[in-house]
Amino acid sequence: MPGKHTRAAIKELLDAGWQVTYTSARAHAYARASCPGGPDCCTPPFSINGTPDVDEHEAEKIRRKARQHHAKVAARQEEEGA
Amino acid sequence: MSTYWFELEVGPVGDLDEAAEQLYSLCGDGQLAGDEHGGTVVFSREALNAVTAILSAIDDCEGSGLTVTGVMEDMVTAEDIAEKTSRSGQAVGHWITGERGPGDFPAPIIRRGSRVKLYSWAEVSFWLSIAGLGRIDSAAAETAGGAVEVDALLRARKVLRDAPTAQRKAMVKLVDA
Repeated sequence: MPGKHTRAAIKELLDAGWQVTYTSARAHAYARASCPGGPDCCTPPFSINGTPDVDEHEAEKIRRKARQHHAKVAARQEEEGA
Repeated sequence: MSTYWFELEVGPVGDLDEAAEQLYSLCGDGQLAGDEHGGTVVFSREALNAVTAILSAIDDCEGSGLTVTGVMEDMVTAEDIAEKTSRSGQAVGHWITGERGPGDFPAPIIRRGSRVKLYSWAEVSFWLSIAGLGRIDSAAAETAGGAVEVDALLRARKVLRDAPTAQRKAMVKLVDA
């Protein structure tokens, strides 16, 4: 079970529509997250470390993925509006 | 010791969960993303210097079975900049367009295959210091330089691996010189 910062970041992902699949029987790879825009959107699926060295860093990495997705969606909307 | 943020590009990732398990059993500061087309590992590594951080991260990735093909410095979105500087997204947008601040905000890099605008955090933190809006992130500046050097070495390694045997010796001599 990851720390509170990572858990909070995972909750934010879920609230934003990301698909989070929890892996079982693995010591470190706690879950995988897939972007709500599908495999061709901003990032391929990523793995969440359940035993990171620094809980806050793992959370920050998760949030950066979410922000990259926002940037991708914004860029797409900009193009469509242009 | 400082913490260095950077990203390694890796070859195709067959089974993400399995590859991540292998990697995370060797180190707890990387986060693997990837599929059959390739992947990335974002690191936040504590080390004596940036090059040591990057080289040891490459060792960990390759020890876990991944093939490292490139290194990128810490790249951030406009929203990341807002988060890092505790400013609103709108304020950062004004810096980028030049409506606020001294102008000449660092140009974004658009990654191949993606339309996401990413900024070099080293360049942005330098710009912020000039604008009197923040301090230079010296670890990011060091990482930017180290990433360029190690990325060149990785490219050289690929060229050497792919070179015909007859040419490889001469190429190695060039690199060693």
